[in-house]
Amino acid sequence: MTSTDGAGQLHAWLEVLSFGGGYNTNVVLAGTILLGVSAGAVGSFAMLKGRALVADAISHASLVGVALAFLLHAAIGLEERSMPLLMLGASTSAAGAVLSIEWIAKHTRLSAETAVATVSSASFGAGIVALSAARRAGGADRAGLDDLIFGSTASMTSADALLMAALATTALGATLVLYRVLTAVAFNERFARSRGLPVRLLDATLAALVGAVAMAGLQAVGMLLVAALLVAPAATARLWTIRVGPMLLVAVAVGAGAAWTGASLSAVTPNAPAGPLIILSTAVAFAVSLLLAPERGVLSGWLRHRRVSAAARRLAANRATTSSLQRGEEGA
Amino acid sequence: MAHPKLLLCLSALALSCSGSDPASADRQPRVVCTTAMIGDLAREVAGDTASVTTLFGPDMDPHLFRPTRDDVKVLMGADLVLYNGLHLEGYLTEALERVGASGVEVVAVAEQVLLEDELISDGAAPDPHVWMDPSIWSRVPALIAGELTERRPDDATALSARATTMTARLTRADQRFEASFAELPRAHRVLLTAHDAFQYFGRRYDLEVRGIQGVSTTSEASLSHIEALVEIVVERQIPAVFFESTVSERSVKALVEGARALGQDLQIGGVLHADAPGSAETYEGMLASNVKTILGALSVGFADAEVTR
Repeated sequence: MTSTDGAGQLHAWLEVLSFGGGYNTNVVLAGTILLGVSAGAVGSFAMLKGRALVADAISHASLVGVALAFLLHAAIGLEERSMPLLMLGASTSAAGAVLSIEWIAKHTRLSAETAVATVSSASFGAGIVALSAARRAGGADRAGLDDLIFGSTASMTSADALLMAALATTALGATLVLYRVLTAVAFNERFARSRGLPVRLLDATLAALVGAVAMAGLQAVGMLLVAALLVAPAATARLWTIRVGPMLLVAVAVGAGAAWTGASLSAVTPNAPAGPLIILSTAVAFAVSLLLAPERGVLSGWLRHRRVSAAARRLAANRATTSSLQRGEEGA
Repeated sequence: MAHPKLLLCLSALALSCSGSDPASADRQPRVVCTTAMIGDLAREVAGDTASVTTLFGPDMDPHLFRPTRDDVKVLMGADLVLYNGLHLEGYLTEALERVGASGVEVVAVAEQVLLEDELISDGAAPDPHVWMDPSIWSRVPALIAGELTERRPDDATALSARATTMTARLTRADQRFEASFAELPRAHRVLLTAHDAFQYFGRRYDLEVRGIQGVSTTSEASLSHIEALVEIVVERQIPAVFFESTVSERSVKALVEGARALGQDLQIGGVLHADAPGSAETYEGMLASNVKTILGALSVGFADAEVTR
């Protein structure tokens, strides 16, 4: 009984994987896969620049912006929620967060990591305060502001999916066009500067791309999980290769694959939310890569270690025999 | 006639102000209610015998309400706290327990008025949306009058008279709603809403109720659940789904899109007030507005469907 059930489940899952599920499932699959593609591409450069966690700060900060924009809404007496106004609020506060991080990293002796952590948690605190105020002003619940914290993947509409498509096109396009310069800036900023590259403009572009992905991800997987979508595929790809081009491809594939797996699993499992399943899929990809990747994987490291220590033992054994032979000769 | 009474009141006020007798029966008891569904009835019944405060605003989702220090202070300063119970006030429940432990009398209204076999539950979780059935909620005025009489024994007659009037008003409304729904053909009686708040309502007026989200608004709808609902909508040719004033619109819009992709023109029937009166302002207004919205969308919608078929 259980085995036929299992087979039925597997069959249902395969059907969903090949876009044979219902309309809503396909919309969610398409939307999240496109989001995964964007996050993989943009996240790779953010990681190379050592700014992987900026995505976290951006997503936390955009909550403040959304809640404040909503309060403004209520103040000027708008009935329906206006998406452009909310997005304007989100991008303003996200830009503020990025500028604060860069300023702290540049003008204090604190590390960039500390700057990111401080700004990120401060933004979250401010976001929750602003959200409570928005809730008391009324209408925040109907506008679904709470959805932004954990996301509402299953409720994605075709308009959302189209937004994701536009985002993926922009992210991939920007990555292809800026591939060389971004790589130069990521690996050696001083060299890039000496070559006359507009480093600050490129930094700002990258931050804007990260911000765009984070904001699109807010609706889909929520503020708490969107950072993982930007970091995990890039980190996974980094385990497989050190070359930028292949790394980008692997990161995009992992982002898309995780979205595909997670969203389709949610469609065939009752009461399993899609957003968290997508993030779990990226974590599984990372764990498997950590174990199996050539060169940097745990398994290959262990094999290498065994090879090296076996060689060392052989060497030591040889030495021992030689020296004992020598001692034998001396004794005789 | 009025002068001696007034003098008496004033002297009592002076007495209580001097602090000699803080629990004086003549001081207006402070009643704090969580929801408007309780607060509106408490205000009607109390008249000028008590001051009534409602904690949740008209657009606030009680499932998501997080109390601030001020809210706890208001609760602590009350003589009587009336709340719904059955886990409606999710994040507030703990604060209510602490307030109760500190000596303030705390009454779970929905739990008190519900008879044992009337409780609806979804598996393990009880459904707190009891006010949706006015035939049950019409017992609340008597409960409130009883609680207030303990504190104002002199006003017993007035309190019980106002409670009786209120109950009669709710009963009349209930009978009116029942008569209107009776005219709706049986096949049309499907109520599809954003979250599962209308089970008591559906049982009272014989409507089949389906919610996109579960009983609490905190649960996220899973993809498989939305797909299952789309199937039901298409199969039964359900014409309308309803927004709720305190629940996110996203899941409703996703459902509409899914049904339209399969050829069922699912309309948005309007906004229902489930967990707070919203623009309908009062408990009674909220009931009347819901009935009007539902009848409007379901009778017209199904009639159209029959014509085109």
